[in-house]
Amino acid sequence: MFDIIGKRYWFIAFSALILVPGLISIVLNGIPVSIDYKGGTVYYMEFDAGTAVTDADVSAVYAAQGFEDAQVVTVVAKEGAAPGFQVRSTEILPEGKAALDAALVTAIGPHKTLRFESVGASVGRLVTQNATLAVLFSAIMICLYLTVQFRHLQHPLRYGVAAIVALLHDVLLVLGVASLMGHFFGWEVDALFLTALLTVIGFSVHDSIVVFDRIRENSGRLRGMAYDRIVNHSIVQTLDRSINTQLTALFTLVAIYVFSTGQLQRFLFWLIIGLISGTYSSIANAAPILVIWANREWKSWFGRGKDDSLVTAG
Amino acid sequence: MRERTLIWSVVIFILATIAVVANLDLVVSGYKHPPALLRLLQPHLEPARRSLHLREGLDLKGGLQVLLQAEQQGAVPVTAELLERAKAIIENRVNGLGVTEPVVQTQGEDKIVVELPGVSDPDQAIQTIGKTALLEFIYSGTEALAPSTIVETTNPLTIDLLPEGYQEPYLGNPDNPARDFPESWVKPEDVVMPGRGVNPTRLAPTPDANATAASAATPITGTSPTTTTASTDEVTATEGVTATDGTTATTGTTATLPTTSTAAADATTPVTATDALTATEPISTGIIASDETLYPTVLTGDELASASVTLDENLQYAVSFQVKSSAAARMQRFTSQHLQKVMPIILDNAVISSPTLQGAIGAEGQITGQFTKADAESLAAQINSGSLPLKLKVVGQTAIGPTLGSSAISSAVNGGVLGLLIVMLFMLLYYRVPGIVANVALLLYTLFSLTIFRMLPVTLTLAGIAGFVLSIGMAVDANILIFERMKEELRAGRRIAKAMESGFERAWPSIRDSNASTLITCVILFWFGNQFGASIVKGFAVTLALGVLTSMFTAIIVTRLLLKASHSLGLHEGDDGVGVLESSRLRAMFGI
Repeated sequence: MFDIIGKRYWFIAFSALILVPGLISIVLNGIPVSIDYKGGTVYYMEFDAGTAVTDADVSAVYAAQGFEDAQVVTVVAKEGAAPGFQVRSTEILPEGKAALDAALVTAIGPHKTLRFESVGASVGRLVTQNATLAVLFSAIMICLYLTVQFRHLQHPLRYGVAAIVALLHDVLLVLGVASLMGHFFGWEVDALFLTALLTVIGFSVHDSIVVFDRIRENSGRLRGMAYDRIVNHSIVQTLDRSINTQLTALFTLVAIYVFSTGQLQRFLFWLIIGLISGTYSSIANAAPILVIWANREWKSWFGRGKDDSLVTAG
Repeated sequence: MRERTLIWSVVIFILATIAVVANLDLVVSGYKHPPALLRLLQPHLEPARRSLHLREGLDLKGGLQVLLQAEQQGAVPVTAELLERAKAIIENRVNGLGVTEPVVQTQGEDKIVVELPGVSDPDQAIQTIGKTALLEFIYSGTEALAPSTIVETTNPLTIDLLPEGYQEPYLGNPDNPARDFPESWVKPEDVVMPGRGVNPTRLAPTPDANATAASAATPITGTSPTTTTASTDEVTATEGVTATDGTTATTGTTATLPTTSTAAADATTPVTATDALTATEPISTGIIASDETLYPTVLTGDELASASVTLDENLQYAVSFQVKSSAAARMQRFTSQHLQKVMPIILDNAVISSPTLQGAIGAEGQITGQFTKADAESLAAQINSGSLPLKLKVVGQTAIGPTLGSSAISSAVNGGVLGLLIVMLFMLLYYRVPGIVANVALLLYTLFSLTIFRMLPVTLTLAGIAGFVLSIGMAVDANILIFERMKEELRAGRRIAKAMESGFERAWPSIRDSNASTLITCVILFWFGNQFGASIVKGFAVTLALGVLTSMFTAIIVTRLLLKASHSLGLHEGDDGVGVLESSRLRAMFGI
């Protein structure tokens, strides 16, 4: 039988290890946010096939229209194909777009709008504010729900808090990866990223709940068994389910991931990372935290530096 | 017990039949849903709006999403009621554009989001929906105003800028149902142009203005106790009204003064800045087409009953209109008394055209002005829907070309189908007989969910499809929980029927709590998306939440029923008296 609780500090150390690179990156590079949060315009245009145009040409037209800060990325530059560009700039208002389109036609040639996305700075601020609220609020609500559901056990609040710590692990991991991806591949965090993050939060708790539920049931049936044994027993009993559920969700996510591109693919990427992290953290963090808390093991962390001496205390 | 099973079987059979019929269009091309089904599934929609096809969002079929923010107009604050009115007007305009399945919703306290799937010209659409669209027929004497000239008028939106006493002629219902011009206004030579009531900050009398005022009327100078324009310490007020013969602006004779003149005439009474009638600019009858001139509004778009696109005698696009009966007499009287004079038509203060009145206009007329077809349609839609009570600013916009969307949908659907197949294969191999049952439940789940999407309807976005596919993976979670429990019970030597029962019973709290936590995040996601028109976020939250709820039904009730059925069909023969563990056949059936 697996002894996950006995190796709880190893699992927690592993969590810390995978969190560290991302956290360092967050401190050094921050998390690059998209126009959804800071306002601005992304314009994805496609010129007619055969138009001779480089990103510098597009930049020049933007600059002439007063958007000197425009960042032009060439999306399609194959011989004979229709050249496509994605341009980020400060917010372009509807009148501005008409003028810009006219200038692009004059300077370069006819083009199609594949995607034009514009967010006002005030809306961006609102989104950022609400995003923070949404994450905090969902964490609090879930903590409350768990505390109420586990109220018949001793220390119901511990279950809520342990689930939130596991959830924090997942949120920090996804944010850290976002920062790394932003630094190395120029990915930006958009409204869909937050959607993925909130879904991960829901899922992470999903897994924690199933383990906690088993602990609740076993606490009633296996009176007299040490608490850490009950917890370990519960983890092992639910392991099949945790892995299988994880697998079926991953099957579907990976399947669409393979077929999709762009924004949607990134959305699925965040979901996949978060889901794996969610299952890991509920088994390897949430449940062990219950044991650590029950044993008050932190008293021995600094005193003796040994962690396996209080395992059977219950 | 048997009765309940029977009732559930019948219910599920009926639901499944409906779901199959509703989804036949996925396999039969050109399939039309029977009208009876529409009536049954969409009683909450107006008959004209009923349709069971799957609605594709902007990111799938292209189109436009605009986020508009209301700004305070004059002294009128943005209220929920005004926002609702603006929303209704935009809905009318959007319908006039002929877009199918438009979405117009208020967002937060001061925003309106408009989604127009499949719109080919986003710029034109923004023009049509976001404009205030206050159409006015104004009077400019003999002067023809060039198209696109921006003019100030005495329209209802600027009425609060007018001095008291000058407002009455312009006040519409309900204060003054018989809105009309003073008798003196309807004779061309008496058309009066009141000076503008100026707000205190603009009260900087120029020598020029003083001189003008002095020649035009008796200047009243007094120290105002309330005004903040301390730099001059003087508030110059003239009666500001000059009746002229239409050509000489400032030298005409003083006209009849409305009621405010009594207050102004008394020099000892302190004159407050806002009440003062100040002529800081030459008073004119509209000879000078500058924004300093206030042109009288004869008729507004709200007084038109309807408008439609026609062709004029030169086969140019034009907009013909019908005047409401309440205003027709006034229009008739005014136009017949101002023949050969110019009556410009302006939209949001910009001149559309400056026709000269060749004949009297009564109940109907025509607006011409070098329109394209789209321009004319847009103007007609705007007249028919009325002018917005609020000024709307575009604060966010997403326009997506149709090509990007169509490639995305096929990839998402392919991914979804592949994901479903893998999950089904996994369930079959791992759980065997219960796995087959779970797969039937999963197919039913897919059919039920799609039917609910059609019913409500839910507009499917890419993120929505992802949420749906994810919920397929989660739908089996409940089954996995139940089956794992069943296996445990079977391993402990329980009989099959007993193991099934306790599997369902014991798994229930986990299923309930975990789904509740997902629903909590869905609610918060929906709220988050609703704040700023992120339909992509809302779409995900809605499909995921519906998926969770539907899966609880299929994964628990349907699975239970099917397992019972398989049991009573004798599939697990040999169970009598023997534990599953002793029979290799049964072990294989349950994958133990």
